[in-house]
Amino acid sequence: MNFFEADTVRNAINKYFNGDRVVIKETQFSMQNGSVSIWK
Amino acid sequence: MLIGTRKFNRLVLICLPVLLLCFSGCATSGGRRFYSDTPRQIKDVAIVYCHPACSVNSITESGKPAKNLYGGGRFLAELLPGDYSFIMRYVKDTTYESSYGKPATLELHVEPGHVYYVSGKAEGNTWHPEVINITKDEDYNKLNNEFF
Repeated sequence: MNFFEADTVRNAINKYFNGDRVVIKETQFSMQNGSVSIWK
Repeated sequence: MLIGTRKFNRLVLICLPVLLLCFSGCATSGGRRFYSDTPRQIKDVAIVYCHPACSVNSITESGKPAKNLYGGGRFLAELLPGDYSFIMRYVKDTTYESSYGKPATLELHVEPGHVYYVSGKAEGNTWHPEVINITKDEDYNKLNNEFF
């Protein structure tokens, strides 16, 4: 068992559910391979 | 001196929008909820947690428009139960650059109260997404860092 990965995942899920739980936006900007794209 | 000169002002005008766009893209790392009404209890939603080497390009719920995002790094999606299609690539980060594999599609049926861990196996430029159901505590024993 990888305690580090298991704990990281558990902590991330707990942190998310104790936080704001932000809704995904329909349009996001992204930057990949050095170029900026607008996703719709 | 550069500050106060026309060259400096031009540099700021060029760099500032680029930096703002970068931060906007990074904002999708972490977690996002894929429904807009009142947040539901964890037993009523599904969690898809992506390994840091997964770069999620879009998530599509069956019969609905795709929701595109940049989800490089560890990413968590809170989904309503149903059928989803993930377009994702593996990414290898080094000190100086990131390299991406070819996009792969992951079809996933998610159930309420379940937690799914997405990772994969790379073969050259191609990779095969893998899903581990880690809903139960003992399921976390299956996690490791040997995927890439």
